Amino acid sequence: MPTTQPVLTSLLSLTPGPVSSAVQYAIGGQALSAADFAAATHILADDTMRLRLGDASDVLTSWRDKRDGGPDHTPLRRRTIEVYARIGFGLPGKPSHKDHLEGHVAELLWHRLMTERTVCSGGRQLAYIPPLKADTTEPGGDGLAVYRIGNGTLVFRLWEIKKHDSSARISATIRRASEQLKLRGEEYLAKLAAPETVADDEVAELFKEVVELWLDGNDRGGVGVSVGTSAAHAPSGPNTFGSILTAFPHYSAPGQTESIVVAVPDFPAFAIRVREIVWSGL
Amino acid sequence: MERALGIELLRGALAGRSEIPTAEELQRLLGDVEVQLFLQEEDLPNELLEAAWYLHAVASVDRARERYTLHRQTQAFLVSAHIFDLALNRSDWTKEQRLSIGFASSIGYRRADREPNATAIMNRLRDDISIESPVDDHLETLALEVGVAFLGYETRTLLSWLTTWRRQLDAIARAMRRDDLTTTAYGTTHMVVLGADDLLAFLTRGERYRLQRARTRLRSAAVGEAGPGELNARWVAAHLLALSGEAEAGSVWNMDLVPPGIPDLARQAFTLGNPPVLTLWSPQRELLAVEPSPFDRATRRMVLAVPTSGGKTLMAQLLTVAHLASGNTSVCYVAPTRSLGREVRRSMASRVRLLQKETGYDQPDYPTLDDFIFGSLDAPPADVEVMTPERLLHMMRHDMGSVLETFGMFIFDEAQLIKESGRGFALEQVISALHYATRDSNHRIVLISAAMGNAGGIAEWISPHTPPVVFKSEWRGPRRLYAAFSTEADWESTRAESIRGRAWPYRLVTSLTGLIRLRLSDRRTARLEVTDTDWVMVRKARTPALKQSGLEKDQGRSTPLYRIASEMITDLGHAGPVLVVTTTRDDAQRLARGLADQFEEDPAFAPLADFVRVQLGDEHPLVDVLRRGVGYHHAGLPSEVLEALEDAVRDNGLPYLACTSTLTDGVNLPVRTVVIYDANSAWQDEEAQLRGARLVNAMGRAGRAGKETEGWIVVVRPQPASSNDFRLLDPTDDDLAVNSSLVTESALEEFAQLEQQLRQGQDAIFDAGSGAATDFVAFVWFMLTAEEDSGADPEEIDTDEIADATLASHQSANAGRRCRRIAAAVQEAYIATDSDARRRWARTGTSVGSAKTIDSLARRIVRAILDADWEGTLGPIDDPAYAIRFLRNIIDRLLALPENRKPWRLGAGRQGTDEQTVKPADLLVEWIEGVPLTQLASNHLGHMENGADRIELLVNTVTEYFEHYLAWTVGALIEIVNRRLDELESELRLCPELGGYIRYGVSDPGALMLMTSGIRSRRLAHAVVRDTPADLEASHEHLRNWLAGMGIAAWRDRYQASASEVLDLLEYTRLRSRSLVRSLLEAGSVEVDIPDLLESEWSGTLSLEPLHGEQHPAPLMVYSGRTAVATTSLHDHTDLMSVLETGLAIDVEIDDTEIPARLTISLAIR
Repeated sequence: MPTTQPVLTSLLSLTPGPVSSAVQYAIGGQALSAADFAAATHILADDTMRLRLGDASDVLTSWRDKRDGGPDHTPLRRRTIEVYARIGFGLPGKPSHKDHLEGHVAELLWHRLMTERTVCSGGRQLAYIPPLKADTTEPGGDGLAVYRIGNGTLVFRLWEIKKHDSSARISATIRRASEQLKLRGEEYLAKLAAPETVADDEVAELFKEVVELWLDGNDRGGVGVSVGTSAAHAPSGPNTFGSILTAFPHYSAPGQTESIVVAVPDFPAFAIRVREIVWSGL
Repeated sequence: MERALGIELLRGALAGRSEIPTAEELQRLLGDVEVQLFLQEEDLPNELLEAAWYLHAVASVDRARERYTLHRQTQAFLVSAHIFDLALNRSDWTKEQRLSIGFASSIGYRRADREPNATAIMNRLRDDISIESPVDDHLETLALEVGVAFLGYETRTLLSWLTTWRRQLDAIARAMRRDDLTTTAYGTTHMVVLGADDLLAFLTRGERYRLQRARTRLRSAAVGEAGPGELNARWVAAHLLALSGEAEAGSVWNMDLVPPGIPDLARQAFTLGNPPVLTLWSPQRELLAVEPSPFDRATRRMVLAVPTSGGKTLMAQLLTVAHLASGNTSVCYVAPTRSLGREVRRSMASRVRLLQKETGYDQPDYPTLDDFIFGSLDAPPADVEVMTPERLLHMMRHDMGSVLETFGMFIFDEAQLIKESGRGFALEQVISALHYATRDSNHRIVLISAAMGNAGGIAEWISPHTPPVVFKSEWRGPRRLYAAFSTEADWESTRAESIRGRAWPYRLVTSLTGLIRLRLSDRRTARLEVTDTDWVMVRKARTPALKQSGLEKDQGRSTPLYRIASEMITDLGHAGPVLVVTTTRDDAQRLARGLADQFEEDPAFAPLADFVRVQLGDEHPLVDVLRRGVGYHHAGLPSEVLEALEDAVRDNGLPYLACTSTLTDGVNLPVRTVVIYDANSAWQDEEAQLRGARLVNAMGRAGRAGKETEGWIVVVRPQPASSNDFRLLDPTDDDLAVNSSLVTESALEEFAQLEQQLRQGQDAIFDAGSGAATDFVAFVWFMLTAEEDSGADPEEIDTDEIADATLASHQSANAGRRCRRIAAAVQEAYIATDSDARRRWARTGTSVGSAKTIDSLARRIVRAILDADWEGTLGPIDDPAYAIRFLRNIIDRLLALPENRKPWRLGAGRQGTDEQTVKPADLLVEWIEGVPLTQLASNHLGHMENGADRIELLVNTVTEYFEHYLAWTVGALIEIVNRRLDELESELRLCPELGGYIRYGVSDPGALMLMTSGIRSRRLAHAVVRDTPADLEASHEHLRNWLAGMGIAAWRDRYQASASEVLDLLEYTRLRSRSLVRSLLEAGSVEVDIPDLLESEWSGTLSLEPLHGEQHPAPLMVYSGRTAVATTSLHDHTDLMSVLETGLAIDVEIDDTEIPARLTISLAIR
């Protein structure tokens, strides 16, 4: 797994909760300064375009140049960039819906933070992150992370990613996320079963078992809930995350239940800004 | 019985997994959902869906990981496919969810051996597959769309869809100056499109390097090497990768399945033909894996018992194509009805033309002297001849030698009809005779049936020495759901009414409700009550006491069953076409009326109603019900009408059709729902009831493979519900045993009687009347003739062997003994008869007694002709109308022969007196001169008030007496007359074609040519012939050219040709023995002439399309954008359509440097 510099983690000052908390959580972003806001949104936009364009470096360069104030593209180049830029963001004149935009940015945050977090509590080392499953009915999606623990065994965490932007308390969103994970975890794992067992390696060995391990509540498994939200909704303490343990009582060992909450001052504005940056390169 | 979701299967799939429903719970949940579906409710419990995803996960783990057994994974695929299939009924899924569930269901069906169900899923999701819109608008779901589309295996559309998507993605890649989109966020999708395209190329054309490339691409996509993200695309890729191995194993390119001796072109006849077949279904694969191989020439006898929708048609086609490809003898395919024959021809044609072979046309059953084997003189023999058993028997009677020389393989479809009394023995005879005549030769005999309980015994009959191949399978694609409908009396609601009646001063009126019992896959029965009805049962009573029993029902006031049934049936029409099978014509008509009463007229049905109105007249009751979307079908309607009704149901243009077993036995017409309306079972005679094989045939129509994954069967009976209702639907092997019609009680009695008469004198052989004994006598006589014709001495022939060749002897020792004794007696009579006479008599196809009569009638006629000629009073006896009048009294004699079981009583009305007011000869003349049926009916039956009854009586007359009986006997008679005249060296001939004219209702050689070359409409044949120029030579070539030169518009204009008539004309004018598809595949390009170049300049790409804005079928034109640039010849129409239907990507070019200009079509280069 290629390592990524923990830039976003430190920009957001992602801070773990108390050790005594049953659910291992971390919250960040409440005190985001304007400069850090700019840097964070820049990283997300740049990162996602880089990943989307793969090794089409000339196209990436084109996009960056325009973003940084360069000249307009040829119509063909512009159209090409649009094909990739529109994922999750839509295009100027046909933007994606506010909720979906925020859900998409929540996913980008999760993905970036997870890849930066190469070592977790207890010495878990990040081994692999398969593709996300975006939810088409409500904003957010499912994610998975595979870790190697001390004795070399691979373990996994199944994540539910959401955004929260309502007057209700964030704990409601977290509870809903836990319940959905319980209900729909199989579907995500089922879609991974075929592709992830083709290769003849360790990860494939894990995936050939993963749905049984999940239903068994085996201690190689675990769950996480990630929420992108505004600072006003930031969780007050460990109790906010109680519903995760209620939904998964068998995941009682330390580190088996996790949460990451990014609570920037104004999450909708944050999301919009990421999109603006992406569009600025069109 | 269906055990698709039996408890063992569920247990196997779930393997006791906790945290998801147990097998029992799952079964209960599934049962609940089945009930919901019936009620058109959409709910699906979450636990069911969860279980489905779990099972999908189990099934999906790559086999190389060896985590689960193959068996478990297959079970998991099957159960999950079923649940996802049910889940698709919810209307609140997003497009992505629907495609995901659809793909999960489809792949489950494909990989668990329910192949046609995957095609049905694709058809349901067609609207979610985007071709028209720009690709970037749906790139996120494209991989799912590709997956669902691919799994439908519908070659022709798939080829063009994949080409479109490929080009769109290539354009994006080119814009990025790359070969493909790998490493980007759409790399995986791109590899899925390219991989699917490669896989399809392998499956259709057998190109192995494409299979390798498909696997490389799909694998890189599956493991994530092609680009980041794209969960759905990786999911699809991984499954298509796994499928590629399984598909290869089941494809026609697998040399272990379809042996190397079969040429590539024969394989492509399936993958690119119509309908396209990319992989074989499991019963077909099983059949081909049988030892010894069915393809092996040494396998000379086969019996196949496979249900409808189990792929038996394809099996027959495989055997036929293999036989034609590897030898130079033809195939004789025997189908019991004209309609089935036509179906077989149609489907066989597309396979066989690729080999540049031909299928023959419908021929009269009773050939004339000159051209009896092959129909018309200037048409070369066909390679596949489809015919009725009667025709084959006739050919064998006339020239067994030629038959055996021409045909190397005989396929008998619907072989269970052997057990029918009457026609059954004809089939048994043919098979016995063939088996006997080919016992030591290489000829091959195949019997096929959907409903044969004793396949093994049947196989032994035809192959006592060599080992037979017996193949039985119960596999079907679509599932079946069973329901029984009955009424329940609500006794509490009974009230008494007093009326003015002396015997019965009171009426007791009781409300009725309906009860539907569904048999669920877990064997539970769910009960659904239909409560808000206005149905009542009224009984006559002497007192007003409310609780009385044993009272007589007032039939006039009680709600009739047909009305009750109709109201229930209309609740079923939402899912697809409904076929209501009844036992009598009256029931069919009444039910149709009951159904129609619930609907308004709908203009969508106007064209069909109008067509029928023209055929039958305004007042015919069929016209009004058709306007409301309901039809009825029985043998009292002319065949043009029946065919139009069948075609309408096939095209989803007629939601309800009530019918008798004429349809279910004789026509291949699958529907969504079959209702068995068993109104009179108590007092009806056994033959007419829907039981055993007849019932199996009727039920077999439910569920159209490839269109839906489930068919419904509903039994409606007037009795109260009983547990027997469902048992009725489960015939045992005994019920389905095929027994010779000669081993019944009555047949054996006839045999006993004959034996007794024989003790009194040999002549009893000739007096036998009609029935089983007579048929057997005729059979023996025929066999003796055949042997004598091939050089044997009649006195030396071993008649025991002949008797033993029958199924009857094989099945009953008693029958066997009687047969032997009678056969010996026949031999004596045969030897005692003059050698020429006895052979003449065999050729007529009647009983020997009747043959003798016909022979003497023929002599009288010959004398009369020669006498009249001598006296100078002989008229034009070669003119059909004159010939009929000349024979008028003879015709009456022919109608009086015992073969004609119903005496001629036209003009007597349905329940009339014996007064004969219409002379057969007069009606016959009008018939051949083309007078339409409605006019014939009003001319001769005007005294009958009811227009429908008139038509029905007339149709019955024409069908039974003219098309079959008289065509046959008059033909036989004339043959003898003309042979005799020939022997006497006279040049006179009594209209040789008269049998054919009577059969088809025409009076002109040109018209007869048309009717025996695929034109089905008598009206059209007359119209064309009236129109042909007097100097046009009467040959096929000239007629074809003249018609082709006219154009479709002229056909419509001059002949008011309907769509099906135009199709028949197109087929007729087609150039023979040429396949453009074949040439295209072999040479890469083909050329045809252009009759008219409409523009001198054009730009851009050219395409071949039907004339814009014209109704189907429309002539094919060459277009440049929206401008028509050139026409095509009608000679080439059918062939060009075949090219378009394969879906292969083609380039079209015009070369106008010469005259005529040439159109070149070539395969597009990838």
